[in-house]
Amino acid sequence: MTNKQTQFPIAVIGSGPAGLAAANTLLALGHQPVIFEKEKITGGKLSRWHQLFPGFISAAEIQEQLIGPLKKASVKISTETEVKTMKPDSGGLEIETASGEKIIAKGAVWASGYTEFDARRKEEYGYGLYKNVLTSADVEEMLAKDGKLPFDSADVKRIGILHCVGSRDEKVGNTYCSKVCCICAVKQAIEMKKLYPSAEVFNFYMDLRLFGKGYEELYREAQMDWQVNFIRGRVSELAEDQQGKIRMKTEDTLTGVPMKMTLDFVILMVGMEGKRFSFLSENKNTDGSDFISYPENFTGENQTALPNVMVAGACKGPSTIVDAMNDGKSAALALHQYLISQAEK
Amino acid sequence: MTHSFGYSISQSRETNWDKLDHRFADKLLDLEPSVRLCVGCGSCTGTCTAAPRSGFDIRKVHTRFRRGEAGAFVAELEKCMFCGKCSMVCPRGVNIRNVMDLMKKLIEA
Amino acid sequence: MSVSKNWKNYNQQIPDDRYYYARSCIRQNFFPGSEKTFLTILQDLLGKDIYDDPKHTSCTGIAYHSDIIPFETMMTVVARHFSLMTEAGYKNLVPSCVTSFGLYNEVLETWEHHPEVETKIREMLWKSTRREFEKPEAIMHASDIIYHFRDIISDHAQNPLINVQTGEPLKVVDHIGCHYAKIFPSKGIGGAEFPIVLSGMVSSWGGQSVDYPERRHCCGFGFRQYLVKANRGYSIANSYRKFESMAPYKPDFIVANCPGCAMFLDRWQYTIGEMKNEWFGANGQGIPILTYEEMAGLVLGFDPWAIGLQMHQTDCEPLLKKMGISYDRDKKFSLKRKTILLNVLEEEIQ
Ligand SMILES: Cc1cc2nc3c(=O)[nH]c(=O)nc-3n(C[C@H](O)[C@H](O)[C@H](O)COP(=O)(O)OP(=O)(O)OC[C@H]3O[C@@H](n4cnc5c(N)ncnc54)[C@H](O)[C@@H]3O)c2cc1C
Ligand code: SF4
Ligand code: SF4
Ligand code: SF4
Repeated sequence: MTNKQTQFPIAVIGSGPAGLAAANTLLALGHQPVIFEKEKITGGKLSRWHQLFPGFISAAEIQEQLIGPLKKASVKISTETEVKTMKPDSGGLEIETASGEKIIAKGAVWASGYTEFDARRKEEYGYGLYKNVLTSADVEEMLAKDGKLPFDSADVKRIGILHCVGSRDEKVGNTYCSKVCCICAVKQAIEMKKLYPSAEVFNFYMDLRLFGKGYEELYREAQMDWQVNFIRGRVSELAEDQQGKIRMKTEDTLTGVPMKMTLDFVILMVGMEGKRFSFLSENKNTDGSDFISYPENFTGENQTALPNVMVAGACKGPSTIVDAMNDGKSAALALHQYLISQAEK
Repeated sequence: MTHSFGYSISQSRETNWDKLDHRFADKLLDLEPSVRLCVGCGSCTGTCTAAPRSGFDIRKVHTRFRRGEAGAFVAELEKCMFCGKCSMVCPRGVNIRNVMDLMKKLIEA
Repeated sequence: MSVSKNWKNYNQQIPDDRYYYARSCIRQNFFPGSEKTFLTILQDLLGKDIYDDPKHTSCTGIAYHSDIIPFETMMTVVARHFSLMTEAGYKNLVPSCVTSFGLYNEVLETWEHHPEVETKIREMLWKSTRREFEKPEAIMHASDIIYHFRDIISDHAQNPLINVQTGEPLKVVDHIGCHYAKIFPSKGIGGAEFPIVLSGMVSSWGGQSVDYPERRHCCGFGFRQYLVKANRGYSIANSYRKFESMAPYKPDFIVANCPGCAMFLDRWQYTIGEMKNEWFGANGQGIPILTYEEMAGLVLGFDPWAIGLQMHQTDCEPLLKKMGISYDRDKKFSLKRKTILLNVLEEEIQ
C-alpha cells in the first residue's frame, strides 16, 4: 500500500447493527474506520428496540457489545452527519455530507438500513387517527422506555396483532415480504401476555413466515404456553367505536366465515422500506422495491457500482439483526480484500 | 305492531366474536390443550375415514368449535367413527380423536 | 400496478367554471329539489356557467349494473352524452349521480386501454345518430364542485350547521356513494380511503363530522340487491348494519352524495321501523337524511319546502328546529310552490 492511501480512513455509513459489525471487523483487520451517522444517537434500530427475538435478549446489551470495542479503540463516530453522495477520487473516494463537508476515504461500507412503513398510508387501519392503534415500532420504543404500554390492565381484554402491514400489499406498492415481522409479532404477542396475563391475544396473518432458528419453537411456545390465538386472515379494516375500542373485520379463512371482533388495542406489524442511491446502483430490484439493488450472484453480494464501496444490512432488503451483522462483517472483509488486491497491483 | 313487506332482514352469518359463547371452547382447551397447537394444515381431514363420503371436515369443525360456535355442529359430530387416523397424522401432535370425543361430551352434557 | 401512496393522489383538480351538467335519471323523483338547488347555487350564488341540457338522458347505469343492457350499448349512450356536450361547447362534465360518474370514468378508462373499442363506439354512434364527439377534459361529480366552493358557501351561510338550542355543532355522519368512492377512488376527492368530500363541507359549514365504524359500508342499494325481491332482505340488512353502527353516536343527520344512497337510507329507515319497530334517531324517530345540495340549501337559507324536504320519508322537521329554521307547516305539501325558491334566493343574494 502506498503511504498516500494509508493516511485515509475507511468510512462506515450508518451505525446500525450492520455498520457497527462492519466497523468492528475492519478494526480487527487492522483498519481505522470512521462512522457517519445521520441521527443524534448511534445504534440504528438497536437504540430503539426493547428485547430481541427469538431469545428476548436486550437490544441495549447487544448495542453495548458492538460499540464497546469501538469506543476502546477510539473509533470516531460522527453523529448528525448524513452522507449525501460519494464519488471516486484519486485518494480512493470522496464523500460528501449533507452539510457540504467533503471527506476523502480509502473505501466505505454503506449500511444505511431501512425505514419503517408509514402506517398512515394504510388508512383503513386508522393509525394516527385512533389512539388505540399502535405500530410494532411504537411498542418496542414504549417498552424500551418504560417497560409498559399506556393501557390499564383492568381495561384490556383483547389485543390484536396485525401481520403484513405495508408488506405483501400491492395497494401500498410493496409486494415483498418484510421477513422479520412474523417472528416479531410472535415475540410481541408473548410480551403482551406477560404484560396483560388475563387478556386474549390474537394474531391475524396471511402466512406465518418463521424461517429462522428457534422461530418455529417460539411460535409453538406462544400457542401452548401463552395461549396466543393465531387466526389466518388479513384484517380488512379497523374502525374506532365510541369508547375508543377497535372493531376489526377479517375472514377467518380456516372456517371460511367472515369474522368481526372488538379489540382494546391493536398493534400493526409495520414492514420495511428502502431507499435508492443512484451512485451505488442504478439497477431496479426484481421485486419493485426501493432497497439498494446488489448483484444477486452468491459471491459478490456486497458489491456496488463503486469498486471500493461495499453495501451491507437492511438497506439491501429486509433482514434480521444477525443477518445485518453478518452482512456487515462480510462487507468489511470484501472491502479489505479489494484494498489488498489494489495495493498488490 | 310490526309489518311485513314480503321480505325480511337477512341475518348475518359472520362470526361475531363479541357475541359468541366461548365456554365450551375454553373447556375444550383446558381438557385437551394440544389443540392450541393446530396450524390448520388439513392433514386430519385429508386422512379422515369419514370425510370423503360424508363431507365431514374435522379440521373445520374443531376450528369452529374453538371459535365459540359449538352448537352448530351437533349433527356433524355424529359422522366421526373414532378410528383415530387423524391423530396419527397430525404434524403438531394434536390428539384430535380426543378432541372429537370431548366436543361430543361437552355438547351432550 | 402504479399505486396511490397518499391522499394527495386522491385530490383532483376541479375546474373553476364552464360546466356541463348531467342530471340523474332517478333523483328527480326521489329528491326533486336537490338538482335545482345545485343549479341555483352555481348560477345565482357563484355566478358560474353551467349548462342543464334538456337533450340529456339516463346514462343507463342502473340497467348496466343490473346486467340488463350490454356494455357496448351503455358506451354508445355515454358517447351521445359526450357528443351533446361537445355540441354545447363544454369540456367539463359534471354528473349529478355517482353511478354516472363511475360510468363515464369507466368508459374513458376502457377506451384508454382499448382504443379499438373507442373507434367501434364512435362508429356505432355515427351509424345510429350521425353524431361525433370530443372526450371530456374533466369529469367531476357535482359534490366535488360543492366541496370546491365550500368556503364561499360558508361565507354566505345563513344557518350554519349548529344546534341553536345548545350552541353545539351538529353531529353529522356521512355516506359516500360506492360508485363515487370505490370504482375510481383517485378520481374523486379522497375516495373511500380518505373520505372528505362530504365531511369537508360539514366542517366548513360549522358542523362536526362523526366517523363511525361502518362508514364505508354499502348503503344497501346496490342495484341488483334491491331490484329482485328475493334479494331485498339482503339490501335492507346492509342498510340496517349502517344504522346500527351510526346510531350510538346520536347523529343529528346523515348526508349522502348519491341519489340511491340518500333514497335508501331514507326509505329503509322507515321500512325497518315498520318491520322491527326499531328507530335509530331520537324520540322514536329516524335520523334525517339530506343530500349535500339540500344541506347546502339549508345552510344558505333556502326554504325547506322549496328544496324538497317534504319528499323525505324520515321527517326532517326535528332537524329544522335544531337549526332554528322557521318554516310554514301548512305549506309543506302545497303544490303551488314554483316561484318560492327563486323569490327566496333573490332576497338572500341581494
Ligand atoms: C418492530 C421491529 C422489531 C424488530 N426486532 C428485531 C429483533 O428483535 N431481532 C432482530 O434480529 N431484528 C429485529 N428487527 C429487524 C432489525 O431492526 C434490522 O434487522 C436491523 O435494524 C438492520 O440493521 P441495519 O444496520 O442494516 O439498519 P438500521 O438499524 O436501520 O441502521 C441504519 C443506520 O444508518 C443510518 N443512516 C441511514 N442513512 C444514512 C446516511 N445517508 N448517512 C448516515 N447515516 C445514515 C440510520 O440513521 C441508522 O442509524 C426488527 C424490526 C422491526 C421493524
Ligand atoms: S414476515 Fe410475516 S408479517 Fe412480515 S411481511 Fe412476511 S409474512 Fe407478512
Ligand atoms: S377419528 Fe373421526 S375425525 Fe379422526 S379420522 Fe377417524 S373418523 Fe375422522
Ligand atoms: S392435522 Fe393437526 S395441525 Fe393439521 S389441521 Fe388437523 S389438528 Fe390441525
